[in-house]
Amino acid sequence: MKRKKKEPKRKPKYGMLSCVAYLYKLMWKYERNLAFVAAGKIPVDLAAAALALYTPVLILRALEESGGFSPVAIVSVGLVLAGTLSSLLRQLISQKGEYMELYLCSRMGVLLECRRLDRDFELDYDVEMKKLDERADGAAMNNHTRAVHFPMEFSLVVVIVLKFLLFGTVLTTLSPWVILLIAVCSAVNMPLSAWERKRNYETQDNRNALLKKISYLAFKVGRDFRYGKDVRIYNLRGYLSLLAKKLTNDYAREKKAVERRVSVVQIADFLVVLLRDGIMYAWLISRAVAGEIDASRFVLYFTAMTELAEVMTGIRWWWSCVCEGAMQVSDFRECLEFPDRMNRGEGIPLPSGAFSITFRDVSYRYPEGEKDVLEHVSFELRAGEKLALVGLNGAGKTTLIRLMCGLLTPTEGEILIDGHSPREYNREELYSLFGLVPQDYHLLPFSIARNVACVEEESEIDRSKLQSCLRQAGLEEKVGSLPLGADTPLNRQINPGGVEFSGGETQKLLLARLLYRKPKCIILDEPTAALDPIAEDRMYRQYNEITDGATSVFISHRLASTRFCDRIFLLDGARIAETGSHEELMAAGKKYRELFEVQSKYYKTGQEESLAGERRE
Amino acid sequence: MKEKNQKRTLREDWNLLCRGIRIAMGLCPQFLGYDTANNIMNFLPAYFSLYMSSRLVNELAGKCRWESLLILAGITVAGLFALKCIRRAVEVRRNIWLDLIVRQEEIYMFDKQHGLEYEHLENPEVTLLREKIFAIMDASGNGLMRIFWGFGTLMGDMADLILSASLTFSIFRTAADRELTGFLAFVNSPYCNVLLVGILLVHVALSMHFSKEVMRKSMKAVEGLAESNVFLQVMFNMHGEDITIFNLKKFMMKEHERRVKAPWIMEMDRIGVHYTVIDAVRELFPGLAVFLVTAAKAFLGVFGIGNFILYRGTVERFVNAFSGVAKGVASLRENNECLLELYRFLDLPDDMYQGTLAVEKRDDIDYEIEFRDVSFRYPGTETWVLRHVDMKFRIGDKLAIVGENGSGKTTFIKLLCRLYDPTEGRILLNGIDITRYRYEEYLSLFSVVFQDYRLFQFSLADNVAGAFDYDGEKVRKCLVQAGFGDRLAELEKGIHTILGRDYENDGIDLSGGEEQKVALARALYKDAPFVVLDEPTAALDPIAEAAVYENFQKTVEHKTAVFISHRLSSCRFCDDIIVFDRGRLVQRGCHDVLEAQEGKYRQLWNAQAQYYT
Repeated sequence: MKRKKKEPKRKPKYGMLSCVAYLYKLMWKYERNLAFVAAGKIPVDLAAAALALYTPVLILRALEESGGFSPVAIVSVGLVLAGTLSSLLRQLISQKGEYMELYLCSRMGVLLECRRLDRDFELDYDVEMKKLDERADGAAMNNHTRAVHFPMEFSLVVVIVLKFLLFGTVLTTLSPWVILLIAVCSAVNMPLSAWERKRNYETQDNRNALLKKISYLAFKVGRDFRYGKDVRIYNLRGYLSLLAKKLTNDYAREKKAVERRVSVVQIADFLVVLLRDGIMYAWLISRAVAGEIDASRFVLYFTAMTELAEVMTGIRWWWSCVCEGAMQVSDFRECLEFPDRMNRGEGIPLPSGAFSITFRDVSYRYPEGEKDVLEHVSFELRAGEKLALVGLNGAGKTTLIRLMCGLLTPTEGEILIDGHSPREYNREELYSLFGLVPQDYHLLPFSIARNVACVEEESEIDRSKLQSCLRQAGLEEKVGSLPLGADTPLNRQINPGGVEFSGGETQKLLLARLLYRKPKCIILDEPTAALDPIAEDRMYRQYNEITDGATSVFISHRLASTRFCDRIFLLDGARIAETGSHEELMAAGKKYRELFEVQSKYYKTGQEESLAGERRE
Repeated sequence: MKEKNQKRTLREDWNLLCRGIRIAMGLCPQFLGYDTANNIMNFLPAYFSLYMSSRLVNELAGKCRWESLLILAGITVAGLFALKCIRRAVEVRRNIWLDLIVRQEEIYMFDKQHGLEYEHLENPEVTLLREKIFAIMDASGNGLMRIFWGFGTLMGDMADLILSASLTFSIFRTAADRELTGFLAFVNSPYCNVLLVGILLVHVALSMHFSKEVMRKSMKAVEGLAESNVFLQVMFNMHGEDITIFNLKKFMMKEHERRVKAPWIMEMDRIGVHYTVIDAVRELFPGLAVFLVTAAKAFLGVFGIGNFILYRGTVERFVNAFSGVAKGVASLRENNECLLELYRFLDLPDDMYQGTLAVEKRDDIDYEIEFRDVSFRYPGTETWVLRHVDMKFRIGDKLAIVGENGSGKTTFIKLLCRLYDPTEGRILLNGIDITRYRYEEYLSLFSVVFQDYRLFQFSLADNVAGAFDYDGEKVRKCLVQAGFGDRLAELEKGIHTILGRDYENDGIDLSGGEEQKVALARALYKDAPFVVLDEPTAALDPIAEAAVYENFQKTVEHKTAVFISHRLSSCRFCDDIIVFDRGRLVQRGCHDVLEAQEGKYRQLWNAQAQYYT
């Protein structure tokens, strides 16, 4: 797949109408009441417009026709009551609407977040996907985005049409030309505002990139106290705050360009209004001086004219909101509906015991990667076989196991799990075959027990199994020493009574989590890196027990671990360079032997010297 | 919270607010000014057109001269144009900062917390305090955020209030010598003015009362959010192999579901509706009274009917502005509760920074560090992590520290680098207690790779050098020395390659081993006399590991190196090995001596060495 260096200008994937339908469907499903509120807004807005138009006319007329004070009083009280009622209704609608939009927006955010959790693992490595993510987040960022405001906005078209009729009728009694004048004035700036909208959408990725940097600094680094030690030792405080300042200024500059474009559009608008109002005043004044209209009529016509102009600009505004909203909805939908490649439906039955894994001429390259991480790798891992994977840093060991579990799909070649393509299995069922101690681990801020068992309800936890797993992982003593035992929550940052495990203890916990699952294929990615020699030794001694009845892959830089495996792969130069048992590879005398000797050199001489020492004694 | 608030006087509230304003001005100097100006400019055009149209109507209903009408109309359109342009100019300058304000408090807190003693960072109480501040901010926009958003609005409302009050003042005028009866007579009497003032005062009092109540209730509603918010933050944007394989997503999805209609937000919704109704009813009375009185006075000819239009507008603004001011004041006062939390964080004591001595920085100087009967336990805990540690080492020594997980090795390093001060005993540099040196000066002696070191997702060069102006050649050299050379050669952008994808989209992901090498390069770049490595090779492959130890031997020749490692082969590079067991220094010596002794060291050594013979 070749990508052009320069990206073409971005266009939304879905059309306007399909976006409207999509969002309404979403709203109907999750926030139905918003539809009613949006509908209720129509008569209320209209009543308010009529009141605004007729209030001054009615009262001025009552004052001008000097028929005593009572009619004035009656009109006044009536108008105030009507005004209060209408403003109360409007406020209630906007109040309720705002909260419903808030619910809708957090629902959209949750949908996105859940989709991101649920979609294929490999999509997280795709740069284009990340950009789409950011744009989709933009659509559900808060309850004021165009996408979220869409339902309320869209129904406004009815209000606009009705208002147009209301003010239009008033004005036709004056002259139909007025309506034409106002229409022309409102339309004059349309191309300008379309240009502004387009430029805004095009430059959005730039601003997003800067915002991303700022949020990284503020949110990821700023809220993470674990940077404390490094920041102090390397005196980074000044550097980081300067960087934040610099980024802030860069963003401000970008934003200024956006605001400038908006200013151009707005000032053009102001100029048009200047001309329009000048003409309208001149006209009305000439009529008034000629005695054709009185003060109350003057006010009525002028109000109707301005309101009609508002309505017409409103149409433009409405249209631009709807367009922008549709674009956002399109991004949102594209992100949400981005297809999975793995099988999410019915799958073939899972293998009942340990199973084989076959790589046939597999190559892999990360999206946007410059070269293959693995090139034409072929092998078969037999059911129940214990494999050790060694190689230098960056040789592709972690990528290989990601491919093995079906987390990544090969760029070339195929992988068979128990003789079948991973896509023949249901994705979730496929993953349930594996157990993993990853290098980059995640533990949730729940109890130790729930983290080990990975179940939703405390009651689902098999306590005796939990204990035996903790024991096997060498964590029983530590957990026993905690006041709440296995019910102690992790993460002291969130749970004040929680426990903060050291690196070695965390690795033991990860092992316990794996054991609890009793997987048919066990993958251990550097599970002993943080263990002390005694704990490491213990793990090796238990290795057969741990992997009993399962296919297993052990990645380690400590070559001692290879002794317990049936077969060793040495990854080098994106290929499997050597394969065989420890003895065979030592006999071959190539890279593996070199690695082993580098590592054992200092232990061996130690042994010899100490043996010599003992002999002397 | 309620009791505390009642105790605070207006003056105290004012002082708290002023400190907040000073901080806010420091973070974003332009914003408060432009926001205030923007809020004022928002209503000025409305007043202008109200005033002008009242003049127009007066002229129309009165003499109706075309020259005056044209002049008035001309002033109206031209004035409005000018005002709107000014408003836009102000708005542009304000909007620029709009998206950035949200991040300012985080950046500020970040900067502040790295100016604090390290001890505070690991203290759960401080963590909770900090998280509470963030939660307040995320949930309700209170704290510094409230000042950013609330200050300009309040200023605008106040200006609105003053303007509308001064324009409305002439409704108190009465018509002279008219024979009137009934309602009109009452309107024309001073009693009516008294009644009007009374109604407005009641409005003021009720506004203040209800605003305070709303604020209090909303603050209470938001309180419950803090916890779940922090929780979500941990859950947000996580991805990794284990999340997929162990199906951890189901927990996270469930947590996300919870945030859609959280009880606090439903409560806010309810409060909102409740007080909207109350406000509408409350504002009905002053509205009605003023409307009737002005209508009657216009009827009596106290002022022109054009003025009636003006007053109707200004009185409505007055009533709204007053509600706005009352709400603004109440929210800022209530917000002081949140500011107090922030100040509590900012005012944490800094005892570490009392030292004044400079550290002599000459290459040939002999540094000697001595631990004199040092014991340590973490603040607020009971267990001793280190007990009676006595030791001394000189510049040029290569020291290895070994021991089981949890035996106190890392804590020893933390004390050495003065991230903590000993609970008992003293640490001396060249015979002088290290607390007497200037903190930054003392820290400048150390290059440390911690076990849980953190890199940033910046470029390689920025990570290694940690400064804007760096020596690219030196960065490259350090990376090569740390064993990163081969990978570096493959990278198209060289030392400008970005790490990770959270900061920029096109970064690369390094493996654990590669990251460790970068951290090592950072330590080398600093070029400090003491190099401390806490498990520097845990994730490295055998070749890289050997290279690190052998290279290090050369690069740190004239320096003091302290290693912690679970790979005991590394000890053979060290002249001196100390062995920790349950917080005590149990053995010390060179490898051959310790290996020959019965003891912890031998036990550890044999556990590992057996596999390599």
